[in-house]
Amino acid sequence: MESVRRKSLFSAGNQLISRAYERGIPLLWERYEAQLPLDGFAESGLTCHDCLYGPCRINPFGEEPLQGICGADRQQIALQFIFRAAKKGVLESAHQLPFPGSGDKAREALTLTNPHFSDKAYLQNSLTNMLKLGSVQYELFELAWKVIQRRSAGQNRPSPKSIDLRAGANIFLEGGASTSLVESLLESFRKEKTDLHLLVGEGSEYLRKWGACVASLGHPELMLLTGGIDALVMHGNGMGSYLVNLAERLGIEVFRTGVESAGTGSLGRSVSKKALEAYRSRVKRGADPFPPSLQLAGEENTNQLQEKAKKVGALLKVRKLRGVAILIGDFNVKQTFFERTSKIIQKLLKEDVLVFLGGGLFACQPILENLIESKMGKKLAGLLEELNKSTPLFGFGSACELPGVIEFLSSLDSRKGLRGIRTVAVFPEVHRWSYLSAAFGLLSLGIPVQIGTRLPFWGSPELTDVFFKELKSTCGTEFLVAPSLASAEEQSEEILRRL
Amino acid sequence: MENQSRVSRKTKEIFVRIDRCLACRTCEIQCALKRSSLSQRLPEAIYEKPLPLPRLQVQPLGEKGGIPIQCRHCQDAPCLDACPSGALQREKDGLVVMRGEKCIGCWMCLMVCPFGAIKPFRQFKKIIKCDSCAGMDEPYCVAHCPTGALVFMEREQFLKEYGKDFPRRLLGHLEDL
Repeated sequence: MESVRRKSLFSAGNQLISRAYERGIPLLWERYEAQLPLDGFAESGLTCHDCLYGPCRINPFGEEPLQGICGADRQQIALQFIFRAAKKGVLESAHQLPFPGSGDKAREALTLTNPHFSDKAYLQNSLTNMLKLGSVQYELFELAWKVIQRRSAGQNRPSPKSIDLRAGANIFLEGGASTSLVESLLESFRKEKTDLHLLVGEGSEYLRKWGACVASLGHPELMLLTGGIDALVMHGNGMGSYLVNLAERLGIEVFRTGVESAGTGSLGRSVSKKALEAYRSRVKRGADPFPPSLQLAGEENTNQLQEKAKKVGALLKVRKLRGVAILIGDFNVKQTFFERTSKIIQKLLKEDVLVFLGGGLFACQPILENLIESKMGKKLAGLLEELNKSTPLFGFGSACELPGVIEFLSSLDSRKGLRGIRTVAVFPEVHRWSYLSAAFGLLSLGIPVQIGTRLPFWGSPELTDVFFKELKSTCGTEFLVAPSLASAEEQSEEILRRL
Repeated sequence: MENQSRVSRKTKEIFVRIDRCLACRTCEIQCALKRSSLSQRLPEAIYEKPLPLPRLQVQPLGEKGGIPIQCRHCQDAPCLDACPSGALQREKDGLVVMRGEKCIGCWMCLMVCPFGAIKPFRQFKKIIKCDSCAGMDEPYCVAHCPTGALVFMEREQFLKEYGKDFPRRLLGHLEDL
């Protein structure tokens, strides 16, 4: 713990981390340190588990072994690594919604070009398939967006700007939850005439339309450490046993749930009962959660923007607004949480760039808004004043709601649609592969993409060279990423050069 | 060059607990990164010219894992005798180190080393060899070995902890190959 640099830009988060350390509770950072140094072969994308000959590895420094047992060289192994990562990213979201597997695009993308037996075209074919996988991810998001729109019609519950952890029971939903469970929990507490806050973090932002409160201190462990969580509900895609172990250590009741199915009624009642007991016990003890209140991510406000789409489009056309940056992502333990993100945001706002936040960044939007200086370009300030908006950032929720943003952007230029708008998609810090496949999805739409996390697949300089040239010719846009991770300042300049 | 005094038994040495070595080669990668690369990070190091070289090498032992081989700083080091330029010298602590400016790249030491612990660094026309990360508390390979196969301690302590019959067990392990 001592050797790891500042962990988070959020002071509340750092305080919770220090307290956990004093209590001897290991967190994400201890587990990260125990893994150091990370496996150098895997870090370079040069390990291969594709068959039972291996697993194989290729020396990153050009010495033996230079080929896997099957004969694959480092170019092939590194490319396959990226390809599998993109596929994994698609599948990370697939369990939550009907997977568009019946579509031709999906079928085609998932038919992998077998590199063991193909000819030299495997590189081009694999790159093309990789972009298609990103498109499949985007189709999934589009489907999610339609579901969200359909189900949430008339269900917009206004959420308070912050919640007092002392004033009501707090249930943390990790990994998402079925909407019927959410409704069941809210109903149970309504009957008890007790306030209930359903807290969700990264990946579950779409649940806010069903009454969930989106708040994050940067990592689910920190939410548990506040001392204000009365029950933890782990969904199928939840982050696993370490969170359960921590909850049990802290005396927080844990419940597991899977898919949206029958049984959520009884589960909802069980969860409610235990959470109510825990809340009442907490009140009786006079327990004081820290921080005492959590700021919540705002309601989606692209509707507001839609009304002003014409004005925004006009400002963009005459270069009065520099462009649009879509920032999506979540924390990565290798970086100080949100340091890179906040630096990039600050720079972009000063240069009159419209900034949208999505994914885990949306969950931390209120904290990010407090951290960044409020200085922004005059034109952007003028637009915000017109929209009667007091904060400079626009949030759109989970990646599932990305299509809504794309819809808005496309409407800004009635002739050229999305291609007429100066846009860059930025992933300043990420740790899930689903963000990589989302990045490929955006690339396939012609939007330049920048990733601010060091990616583990630069083991082949030859592939690096071909990757960027081929990708540009395949999708006509740019992947702004490189083996050497640039500083936040350099990345901001890179974004601005493309706007 | 005449051999100098015997290696002090009080000096710490790098030992290998062969039953723990998985031949993952993390020691090689970390040595190259920390001792030979400018950037000291992957993947930047992969793009350096010349490529960083590790000072030790893991000799695979088939399915039994491997054994990292680094300079033994032999008591009676043949490389010291073979070096014509005085580049290889024994320090006061007993370590055999290479003075880069004097090395003429003749490869004599490389040829006489019974362990194959000396390697050519062709781009610089010199040799490269392990110096047990002289001056540091712990060599990088030892510090980063994920299984604890590499240990850095005095000989007496090693024999005490891992058994006086360790050399025999090691030979037995190798004989089975």
